[in-house]
Amino acid sequence: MASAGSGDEKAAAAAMITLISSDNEKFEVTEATATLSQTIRHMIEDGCTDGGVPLPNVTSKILARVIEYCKKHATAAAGEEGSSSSFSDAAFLEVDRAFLEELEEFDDAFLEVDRATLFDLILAANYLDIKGLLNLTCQKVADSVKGKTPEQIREMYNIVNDLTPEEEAEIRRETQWAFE
Amino acid sequence: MAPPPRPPPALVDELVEEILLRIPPDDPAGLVRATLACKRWRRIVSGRPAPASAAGSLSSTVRPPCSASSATSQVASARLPGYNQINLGPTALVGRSLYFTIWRSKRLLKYDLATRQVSVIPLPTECFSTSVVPMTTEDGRLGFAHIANNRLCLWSREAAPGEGAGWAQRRVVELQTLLPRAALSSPLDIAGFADAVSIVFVLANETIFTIDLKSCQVTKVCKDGSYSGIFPCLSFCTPALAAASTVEGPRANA
Repeated sequence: MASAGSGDEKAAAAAMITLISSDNEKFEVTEATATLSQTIRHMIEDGCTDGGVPLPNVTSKILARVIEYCKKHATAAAGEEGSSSSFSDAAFLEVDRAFLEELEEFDDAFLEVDRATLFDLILAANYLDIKGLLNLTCQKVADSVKGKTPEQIREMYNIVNDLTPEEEAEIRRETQWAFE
Repeated sequence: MAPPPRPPPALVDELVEEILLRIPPDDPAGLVRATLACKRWRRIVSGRPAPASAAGSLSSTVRPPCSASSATSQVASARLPGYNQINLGPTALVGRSLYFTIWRSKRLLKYDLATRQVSVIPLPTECFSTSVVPMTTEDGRLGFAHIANNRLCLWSREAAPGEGAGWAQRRVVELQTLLPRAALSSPLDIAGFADAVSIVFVLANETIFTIDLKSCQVTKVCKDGSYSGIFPCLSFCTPALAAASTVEGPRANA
């Protein structure tokens, strides 16, 4: 459903950006949140965000998750900035650790999604050029492959095996050490 | 009953590569097993050189810094006071701009690949008289790393509304306790930064160490050398895979 009202959007704070998902849902976010995406950052720099930023490759469901990630990471960065050089080193390291732990907990919880959603997030992170999110989601998939057989990997990620039995047998013979 | 789960959408080669690159290097067997999933995955790992890091994309999109200095003639704001030799040390590609360090200068040189404009960015006073390595931060901003008094300091560019942007120190890592005592007998210097994996290269007494900033794990890489800069390049560690990959089908079928 498309959200109503575009007339009062101009009245919103100057640093707000409207993102429009593929299913035409509108999300208002701060510029600090939006610019975690290099794609959007460039659009802002080029002054083409008036009237909202259409993101035809991202559904509202995925965009909501992406914004959740960006909000958290943008807030964390801003909070950390405020506490930066004025602290003594010891205090700084303390703040730093607490901040990293909190962010890690958030990221872990954030990744508790089904595989299809995880792949959707990878596609969105790539399209929007959000380095941290791409790293996080790709690492999650890489970790999930650990200890799995090729058959299990195919099943997990909907991969069609196009190797002939002969090819597969030969590869297995030559890399036997990996299957022991 | 819940419906069967939706199958994951297809990923382009570059994204499959991003995933496979993150299989831990201490688990080569895991990577080999993953390459048996299908021909495409196999080709991505074994069939072509795979520099997926920022360093990799740099080499393919950017000519040496002379292309930046040739552009300076068109842009008055890029005039560099005093010494103006661009370092051939590590650079950073952040967004659509390349950042170089300038020899004996307290500035970074920014080259916008889209507009071909060159500008200079002053560095904070804290990093004067130390080597500086520009980098991309986790959230995709310009950052840099330097070492002062045996401390590794990571900075990022913060957009301050109103008058331009400033620098914020984001992290300090005490190297005194991480590196072996022998390495600390002469001043430490930073030699490179692999921002995709958060690994920093430190030059200590002619020995190169890597420090994983996530785990703080220190690895001695090589010694007895003279290094001024390191250009990290991510690739796959696939022992014995090259020979086996000859059974791969033509690319078009993958």
